[in-house]
Amino acid sequence: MADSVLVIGGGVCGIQASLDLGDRGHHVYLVEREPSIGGRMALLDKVFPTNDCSICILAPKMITCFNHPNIEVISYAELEELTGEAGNFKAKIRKKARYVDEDKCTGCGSCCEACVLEGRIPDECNQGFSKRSAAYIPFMQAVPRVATIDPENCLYVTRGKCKRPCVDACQRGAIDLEQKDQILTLDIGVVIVATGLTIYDPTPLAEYGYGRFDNVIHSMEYERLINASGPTGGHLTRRSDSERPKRIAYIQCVGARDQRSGHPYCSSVCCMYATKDSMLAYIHDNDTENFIFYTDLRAPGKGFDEYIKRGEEEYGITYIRARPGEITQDEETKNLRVWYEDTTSGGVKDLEVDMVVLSTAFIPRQDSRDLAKKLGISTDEYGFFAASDSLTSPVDSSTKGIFVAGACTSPMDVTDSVTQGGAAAERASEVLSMMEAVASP
Amino acid sequence: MKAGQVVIELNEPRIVAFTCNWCAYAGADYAGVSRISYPPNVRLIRVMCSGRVEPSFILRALEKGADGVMVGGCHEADCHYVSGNKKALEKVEETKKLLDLLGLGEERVRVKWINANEGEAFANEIKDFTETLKKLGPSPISLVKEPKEGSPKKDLGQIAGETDALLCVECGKCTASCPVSRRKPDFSPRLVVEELLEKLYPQIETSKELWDCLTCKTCEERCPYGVRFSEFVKEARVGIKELSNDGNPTRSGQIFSWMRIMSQDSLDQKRLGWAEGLAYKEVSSSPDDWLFFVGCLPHFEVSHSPIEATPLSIARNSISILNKMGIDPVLLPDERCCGHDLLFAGEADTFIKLANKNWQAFKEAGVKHIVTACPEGYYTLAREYPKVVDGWDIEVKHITEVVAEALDSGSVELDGDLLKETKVTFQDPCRLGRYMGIYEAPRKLLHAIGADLQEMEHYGSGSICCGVSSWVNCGVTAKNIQLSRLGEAKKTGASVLVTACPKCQIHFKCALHGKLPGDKENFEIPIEDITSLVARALGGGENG
Repeated sequence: MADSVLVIGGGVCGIQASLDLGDRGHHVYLVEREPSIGGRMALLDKVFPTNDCSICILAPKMITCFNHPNIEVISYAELEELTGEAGNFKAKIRKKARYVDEDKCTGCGSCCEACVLEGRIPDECNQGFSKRSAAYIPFMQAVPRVATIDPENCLYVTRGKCKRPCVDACQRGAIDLEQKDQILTLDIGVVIVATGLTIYDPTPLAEYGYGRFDNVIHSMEYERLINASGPTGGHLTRRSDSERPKRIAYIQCVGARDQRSGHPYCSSVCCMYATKDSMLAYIHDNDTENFIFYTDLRAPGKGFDEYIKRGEEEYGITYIRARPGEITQDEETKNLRVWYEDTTSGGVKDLEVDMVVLSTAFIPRQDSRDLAKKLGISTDEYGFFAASDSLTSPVDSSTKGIFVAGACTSPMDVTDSVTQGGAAAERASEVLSMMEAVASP
Repeated sequence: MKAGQVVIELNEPRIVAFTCNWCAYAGADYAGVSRISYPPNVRLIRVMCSGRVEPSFILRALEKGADGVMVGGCHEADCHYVSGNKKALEKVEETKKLLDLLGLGEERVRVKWINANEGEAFANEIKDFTETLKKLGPSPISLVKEPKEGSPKKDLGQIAGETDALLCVECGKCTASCPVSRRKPDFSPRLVVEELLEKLYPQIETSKELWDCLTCKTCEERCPYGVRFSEFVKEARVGIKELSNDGNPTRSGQIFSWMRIMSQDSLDQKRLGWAEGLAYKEVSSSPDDWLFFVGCLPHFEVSHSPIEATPLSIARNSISILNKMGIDPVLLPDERCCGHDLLFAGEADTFIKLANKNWQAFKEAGVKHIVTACPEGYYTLAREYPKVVDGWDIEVKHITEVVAEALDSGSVELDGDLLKETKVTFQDPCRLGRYMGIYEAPRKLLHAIGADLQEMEHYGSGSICCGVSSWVNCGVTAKNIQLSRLGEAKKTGASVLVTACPKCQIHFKCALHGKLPGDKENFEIPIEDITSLVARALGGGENG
């Protein structure tokens, strides 16, 4: 039997699981779809409830993981097929051509600067607020720190027509535009799925004007705007006029706790991160006024309630119990008016603000059901991976030898994702040992 | 006859006479003191001036069993309020037209100017009217009172369950979305639901606010938990109406009166006069035939002539469109009101009667497809009729859908230069949009005639209602909503506001006809129904 572990998803949860398993002496393949591991946490500015710098906590783990003798990070790769059963899985991994030799590249960025498409392609990591080249390194702390050439945009790859300045710029000769996708076949004992989540696109909720009004953004966009390594260097600005917003409204439960958009569940972290976001805006400029429109303030956890209290008392956050009905825009100033019913004192009121941040629902990744099918595991009604018993075995999937952990099972915060990653590693190790014991008595 | 039915038999005609305090009533009094005998068939109702007599009074009297109604006032130039009698004459003329449409006959109402000393004239008039009514025979309105087989009224708790009100988390998104709440702070859908959850039923039943709801479904569109508030209001009004909690009907109720009259069994309606010169048939000859459901357009043409609304042109333009598409639609000479307004105003039992009458007529005409230009009729036929008639199997469409489908299939071509480079804006009717989900069809037509569609600030599923629904509670809030909507239309820079519902047209024209704020140039915009534009793009039609 094989004693390797396949971890799918290199976010904080998958990294934790890989590290725990690697430290125990198991061989781990960590497969990440994106060019870099790190996941969503790598893009956040600070984390609640300590307001610690997110990447400062994560980056050391990413590096440790990448350099770990027992862990093989396969980035820019996806699972094609999984066959066999616990102990004897065969995983087919498609390692996508990144058109750069990972061993030669030093991550100097010369190719990115040389690319003829420089500053033309919306940067996914910065939520489209900045533009990148076809050759790019997703973010500063990327691991592996190597360039990737985006096959959807590169002129040479798509049309075969380009002077290829990237090739000339690279002193190491790492660019290989003829590279092909590789299929790796791995012998796997057990699998941990930690593919994370995505956020709900609030465009269909037309009453909030996302996509119509420049200064209505969602929380992930906010994270990048307030982030020192983000597109604005951490200066929070409005899309309409690049001015600093002095009054910011945060609307909770956008597409969450909402049967209409199909997500009746609570996203569980938004009350906390909206508070964090408000604190950050205040810390950046302490004349910023923050208003959080909530349905029910949910701060379940040690220190969480206190965090909200601090938000109110020390950072002057105004919490308003209402779900706004509509946002309208002033044509000239592009300021926004939030219409809401004050459910504590009654009456329809309106609040003029410079920016609105929508706390949108955490939802399963769009292809989660496809992945579940490939793996032969079950999902819940929304598309989150289902545990075989959420009370007694929260990280066991419905199939033996496959474990599910982190936000691909349910919305959760960093702490819970790390806990689940560790739990999945523990279970994986336990099952491997048991199978080994049976195989060689 | 069913057990328990009561028939009031009276072979003599019954006359209700509204007489003015100064002349006609005094004349009747003079007849009395002068011992002049006249038939005892008349009941006098004294009013200060004959000008006070609304068409609704006359219709109400007829609806309640009168065979004839007389309005008596001062001779011309004698009116104690200068021109009340002139107004009375106009109103009676309006009523006569309605009576003709309904098949009651205009002879059942008459005006007579009688002086305070003309006792003889009064007596003669009553004698003459009695004879006329005897010749006409009794009014076709039956006074058979059917015992109610269980009231359609439901318990509020049951309605709350059926409309998912129990799922409410009281977030207030409904109230913050409501066009009424924003202008009238007493009205809060959230608080109504809260009262429901706390079982404060008497508070709801006696609250006048429930009549403020436009049933426009904006709150439902946005409610995260899918509470169907409009449906709740519709159902709750049935019980509330039974408690005589009424919702200020428009035109003091004449519209509801004629609608109720249409639920009578045998009426000799004369409702197709407007279709002269257009190609139509009265019976279907093939299962592919379309029936054009006219609805109350001929009646609205009469009742809303003072505000220059032209609902009938919508009917004529629709037929013209269908004719140009090679369709000779079926028009029913005995079609009845669809019942939408009564249903939403809490008269579910009358609605059920109307629905079944229409269903019988549709079956007899042998039609399987219905097209209408009225979104309210469209919704009612398509969604409410299947709930209350047995075996409904008819496809219903709005005229914009029928034309849009024909455009798609290439079977019809519109003049793409008709509105070339003309900016227009479009009012989504609640029933067409939020109730039936049709947003694209009318826009497709506007695009096809070359119009440059400029959307208002609120459009599509976020569109704001025209301010009044089911003819209740037309007041200052309605006017405010209408003006702000017209303001939005004007702001787009469009040269015409296109409507797709006769009622939207009526309500906006009414707002423009009334007193406007000083900056009226910010509100005044020509209003045209989409059928008028499409008919013209097909080489026919009339403005409307």
